[in-house]
Amino acid sequence: MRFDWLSGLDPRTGTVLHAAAWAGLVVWALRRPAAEIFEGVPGPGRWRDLRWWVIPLAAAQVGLYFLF
Amino acid sequence: MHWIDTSVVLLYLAGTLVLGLLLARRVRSGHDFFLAGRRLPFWAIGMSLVVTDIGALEMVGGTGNAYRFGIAQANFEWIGCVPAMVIGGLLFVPIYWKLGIHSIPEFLGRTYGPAVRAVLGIVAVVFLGAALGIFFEASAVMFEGVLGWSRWTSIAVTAIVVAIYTSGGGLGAVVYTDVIQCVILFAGGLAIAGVAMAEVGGLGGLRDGLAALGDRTAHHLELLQPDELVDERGEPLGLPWTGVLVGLGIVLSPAYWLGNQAIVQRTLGARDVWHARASMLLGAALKIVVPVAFVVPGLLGVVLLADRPPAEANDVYPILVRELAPVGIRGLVYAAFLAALMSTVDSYANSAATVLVKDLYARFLVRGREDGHHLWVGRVGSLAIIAFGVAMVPVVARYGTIYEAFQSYLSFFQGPTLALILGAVLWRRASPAGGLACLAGGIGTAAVLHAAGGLHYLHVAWWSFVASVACLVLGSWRTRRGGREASA
Repeated sequence: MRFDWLSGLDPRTGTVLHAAAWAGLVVWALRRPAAEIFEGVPGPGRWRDLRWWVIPLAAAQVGLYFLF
Repeated sequence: MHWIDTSVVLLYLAGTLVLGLLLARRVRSGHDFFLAGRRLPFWAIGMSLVVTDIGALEMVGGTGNAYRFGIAQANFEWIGCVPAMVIGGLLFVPIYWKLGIHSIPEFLGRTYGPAVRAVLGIVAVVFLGAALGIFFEASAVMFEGVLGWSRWTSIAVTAIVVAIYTSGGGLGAVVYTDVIQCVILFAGGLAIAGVAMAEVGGLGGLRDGLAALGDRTAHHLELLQPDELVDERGEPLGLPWTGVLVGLGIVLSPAYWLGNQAIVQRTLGARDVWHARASMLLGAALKIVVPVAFVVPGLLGVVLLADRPPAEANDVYPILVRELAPVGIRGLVYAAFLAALMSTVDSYANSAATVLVKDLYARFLVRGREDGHHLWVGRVGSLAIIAFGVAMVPVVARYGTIYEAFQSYLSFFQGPTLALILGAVLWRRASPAGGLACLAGGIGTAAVLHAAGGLHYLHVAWWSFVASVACLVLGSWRTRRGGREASA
């Protein structure tokens, strides 16, 4: 119940799992259809493509967990 | 307090009140009151999302936990918020927004029928209302120690100011005053972190200082800590990394960011679906910065107060403010305390009123009334919820453990709520019978595991979620999908 089968592992395993989850999240975000992402977009500009917003978020998150 | 600090606090209170009153003039219908006329921009919603989540308790308690457990406390902001906000922004919030709903119980009622909607509506109103009492009481105790205000002075100031602009301006006033509160909160929090960091001698000084303290702080700079840490009674200590990943990351965080009415409601007021999506992503970006302001000072406190440790971990932040912040900055931090409390109270009051009117009053009690009537009931409901919160203060003060008990009971609903949301969005066969089975199975599992003891609450949340999904699938498998609600 307390995930004893995982507890013997080094917590750094969690860092790798976390990074893998973010890699999956970034791929999933980038594969969202453009028509869906730009639905209701209020004006021109590449910065409005929300799929790319996920990349700096992922980089910051994964970086912090490798740092600490 | 120095007169400059007092002036900063009064300026903040006056600015918030004036802005709230100006926005109240724009409210002419229930649509304006409950969803801000669906005119809100992403930047305002994103900032509001962040400060709604951070109360005065989190400022002090987050720093206190960082003092005790270390930087692992930041997991509540990073793993506990950012991934769920990204998925919520890209997948769930657009679905909510396009349906034009007012609340999460209303959304779930479309799949699971009126019984589930009523249960979740009542739970939401009771939780949001009772939570106000806890926020008022705990913050008043803190303000008494930090600002020197009497308990009822701080409760009266907060309740009156919030009641005026929340009952007048509805969601729009709540969100735009949250913007001011967000700026104040970050300015105050980062200022005290910066001053304390300079005092320690930068990041290198922090690392050296923690290393010099030996075993007690051996894991203080580890985000993911070993599961085996236990206290002298054998109870789990700190934050086990498996619990952080599965209990917090997969269950509690998505349940909160996708299912908490106080959070979701402001995204429903976005001016279009792009703004609804972008608000969540902006909030996620701000969430990455939050631990710098409210976790790092706890770590710095370990080093700065090593030779005179405080009696309580929650004393660390007030001590740092009193001893390190210069005049003016101290006023800014005091204003940040008030901003943190008010931004949470106004959101909870507005959301409770919305559920009260839309999911209970208009759906089950008095049907078919015009929009103007709902606006009036919403305003009275906001005032009533705040009054209920104030009335709860003596109860909370008398029974000191009520806060912990309340938090535990609330966590019983997180697994089932997430399972219901996932079923409604991702599984076409989810049925009303399955929804009721999910609620009963998930809450029952959490209650049994909690009563048995010995399991960290993050692990309880995970197993409650697993049981909820199983009950939803089994309950829906051979039952009809009839009994759904077509609309509000």
